[in-house]
Amino acid sequence: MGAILEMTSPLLRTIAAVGLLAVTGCGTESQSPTAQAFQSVKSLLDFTPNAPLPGPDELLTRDVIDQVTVPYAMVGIERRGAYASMTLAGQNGAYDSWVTSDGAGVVLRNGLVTGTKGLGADLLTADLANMDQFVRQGSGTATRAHRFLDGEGRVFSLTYSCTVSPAADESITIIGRSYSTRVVVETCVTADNDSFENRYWIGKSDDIMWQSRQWVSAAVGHVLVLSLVPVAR
Amino acid sequence: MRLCQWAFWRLAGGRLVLGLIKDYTLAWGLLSAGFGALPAFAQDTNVEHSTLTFSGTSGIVEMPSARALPDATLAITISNFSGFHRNSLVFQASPRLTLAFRYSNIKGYFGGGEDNYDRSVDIQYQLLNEGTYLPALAVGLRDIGGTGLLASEYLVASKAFGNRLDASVGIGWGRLGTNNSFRNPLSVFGEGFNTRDTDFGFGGTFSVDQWFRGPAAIFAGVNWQATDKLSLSVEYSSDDYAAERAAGALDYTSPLNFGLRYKLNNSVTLGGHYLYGTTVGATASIVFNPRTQPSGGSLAGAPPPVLRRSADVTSWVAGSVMSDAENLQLRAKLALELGQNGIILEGLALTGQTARVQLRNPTFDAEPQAIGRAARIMTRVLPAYVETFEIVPTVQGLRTSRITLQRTDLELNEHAPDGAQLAYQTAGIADAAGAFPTTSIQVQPRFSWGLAPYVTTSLFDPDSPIRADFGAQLSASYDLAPGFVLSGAAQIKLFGNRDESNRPPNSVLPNVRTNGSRYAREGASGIEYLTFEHFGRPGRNLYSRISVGYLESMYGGVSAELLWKPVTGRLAFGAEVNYARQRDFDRLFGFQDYGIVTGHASAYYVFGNGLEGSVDVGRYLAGDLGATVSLARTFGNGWRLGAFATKTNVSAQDFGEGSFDKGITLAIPLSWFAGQPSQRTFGTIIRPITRDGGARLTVRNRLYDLITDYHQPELEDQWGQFWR
Repeated sequence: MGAILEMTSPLLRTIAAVGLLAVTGCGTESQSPTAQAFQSVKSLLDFTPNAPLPGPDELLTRDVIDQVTVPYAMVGIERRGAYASMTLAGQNGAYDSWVTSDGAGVVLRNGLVTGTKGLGADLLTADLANMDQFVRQGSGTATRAHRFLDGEGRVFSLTYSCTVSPAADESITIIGRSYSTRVVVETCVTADNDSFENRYWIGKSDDIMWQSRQWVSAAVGHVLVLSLVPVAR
Repeated sequence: MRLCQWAFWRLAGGRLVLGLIKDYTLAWGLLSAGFGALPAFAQDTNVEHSTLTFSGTSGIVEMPSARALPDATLAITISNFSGFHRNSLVFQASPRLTLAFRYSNIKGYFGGGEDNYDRSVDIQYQLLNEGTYLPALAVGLRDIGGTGLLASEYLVASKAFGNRLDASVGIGWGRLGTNNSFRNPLSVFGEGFNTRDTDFGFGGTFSVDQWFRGPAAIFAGVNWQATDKLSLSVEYSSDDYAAERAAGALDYTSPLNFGLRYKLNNSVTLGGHYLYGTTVGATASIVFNPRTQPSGGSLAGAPPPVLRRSADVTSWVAGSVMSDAENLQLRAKLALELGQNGIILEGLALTGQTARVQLRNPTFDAEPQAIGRAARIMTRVLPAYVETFEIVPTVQGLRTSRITLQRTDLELNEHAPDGAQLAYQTAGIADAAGAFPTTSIQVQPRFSWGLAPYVTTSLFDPDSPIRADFGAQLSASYDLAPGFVLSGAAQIKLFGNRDESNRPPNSVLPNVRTNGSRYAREGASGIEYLTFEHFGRPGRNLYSRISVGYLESMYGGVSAELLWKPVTGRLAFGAEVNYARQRDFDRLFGFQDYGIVTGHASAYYVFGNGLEGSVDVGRYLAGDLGATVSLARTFGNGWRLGAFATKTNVSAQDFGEGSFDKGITLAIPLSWFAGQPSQRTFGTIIRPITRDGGARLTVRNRLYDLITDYHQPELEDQWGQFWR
């Protein structure tokens, strides 16, 4: 006996699954692979692949943010144009664990991303050295070590040489509120000449990092982090 | 109980994940449709030269080259020319070793319109990697152990000239030594090398005494990578297709073959070819690597973070004396939070500063991920004075191991850059026998059920190489007490064609498996299994199982198994004794007359680097005595590719076609496709032919596979996901 068709003939399997639509995968037991595989095909049909996802201004209004009294933020995956609001799930030392409305996670240290959870090719951890201080200072050089999980679930790391420098001040608007910010640019490069650039927008009057664009991994690209109600420290 | 609810998709209110799901389901959907859109795997210097031939292995058009595929690559190739149809599955088993399994169909091979169906296995080994001046060198054997139809051996050298041109030249024997052949150069070692006996008997035997014998011939060719997508090939073939020409299956006017290949994306390549001066052929290949996940990584939601205790140690004493009611409340809270994370609490015992939890993980395929989440939830729920966490994961009520973690370490290492390594170094991993006062165990949920589609296949019948039944399977299980499980599954066939098979058993042995088609006809719907099982820990390093009932679709009876496996050991021994009685063909409650005592003594060993092996010695279903040797390459993400062979005291003649039982096994974890944690796996065993010799009972829940995920070295291998 075998289920070779489950691998070699997805078409037949899908036909089988369609035939069983009414009864597919009910119960308390974990879903059968066939049922789950069918579901992943079904969800593919559920929405059009290229439908634009709502941006920050469509997800939230300033009125809503003004009523929020706990730390609140938003994260977006630049490449996918997908945004979600985040609340603070926990703090451990200098690290803030944020969780999005759909269950993904971002870990920040002084506003710098040190980990993501559930984005696919996640950043497992980041050893920032003193980069979070250099970003606030607007200059400095440090070595970052980023760790990832490979396709087999094993840890590997990439080491970047990073330099921080100031750029021209900017006025930015986040969901209906404007901030006058100084801009800090961080450029990082590996020994193999892989590189990325992070950009931080820090309020000139309050020294709060209101916005940042930070690198996660080659497959995820950059995330955009918007601070809505900052963490009080 | 979530009825018909897909916990699998966390779409509610989600937008970020929505964006992701589109991407990976698209990838999945495209793969399903046969157009894999998998991400590029790491570029290897060999990659651009390793074009796939009609045989599915790396080479020119039909001739092999000395190029290996990137390690762990799987390539599926379908090719056809002039009625020669081949389906090949090629696996780069190690950086130097390539294995291929092929099912071919040659129209009119036997003349008079009769087709030939043939299964074959190839091996190629890279003797030398390419150097600055020296070429890559490989030796290969085609169709070892098959019916010998395609049997050939070769030695081939390949050398790249610049980035785009790759030239190969080789010498072939057997089928590859037929065009313009000459006296075997190996005959300097003895006259015996000059003769090749082509009588392959019943097939399936390794005719080592025929390898590299008989006349030899030269083949050569070049691949030119014209653009990144397009490559062109020309070769001089050393296969003269004498038998096929004689049977009128092929017109042959020239040994020159020409090929053109176009790469649609990183996994799909299409080819068009002009062969032997007369014929046009086509190939299509899907190439992917188990090491590369389509979703790029896990899409599992964020774990609950560690809740760090106040720095004021004196405040921790609060709550150290609890009433029974408070204890129950604590337990309920822990059960709730674990349950929200897909983990089931079975027991909690607080002793001094130690909290011991027993839990079941039906959710996460990476076990350290479940342990890590449970530990974080414990920091959130348990009173501050509790410092030591002991986590005992169970499978079918079996305590698999005991993981000891210090709460202070968890607090310190949660976000540490090398946190996974620190968490591993500070964890204790020990045997869990008797690790729990049984009074504090409560198994929930006691009842579970499922209704899902199923597929059953019958492969390689010459009348119809793939037959399948589709239907619905209703399954249920009831935990009577810890380790006591009543479970069953009924299948209702909705449609399919397995009942069309009409080959009566032609075996001289008791028909223990060759009557499978009769079960498919008369028992298309029926009881797949209905068993009462007991799982236990008779002592340290020991695990036991007793199963009674309808054990599998063709046999019922009693099965008892004992396994010795130290938590941190690479070696395990097991023994299993069964009394198996053949079930009625209708797959309902009745039994037939045939019954037998069968069983095995087994040794299992994890070699490391993903290689695992086992040896089973004992008595098989037909009463034959012998041994099974199995080897598998496993991947951290749950992929597993293996092969096994069984030799018993049944002669090749009595066994029939194939001479002895063998096959390949394949397991693909659902989480690899979906990116979501899941313990489900697509698994299959492909046997070139199913006969009655060397057949084993298929008992569910054999112990070794139940527990080793929670043992070393697998825990360490996956510990990187502890904080995930």
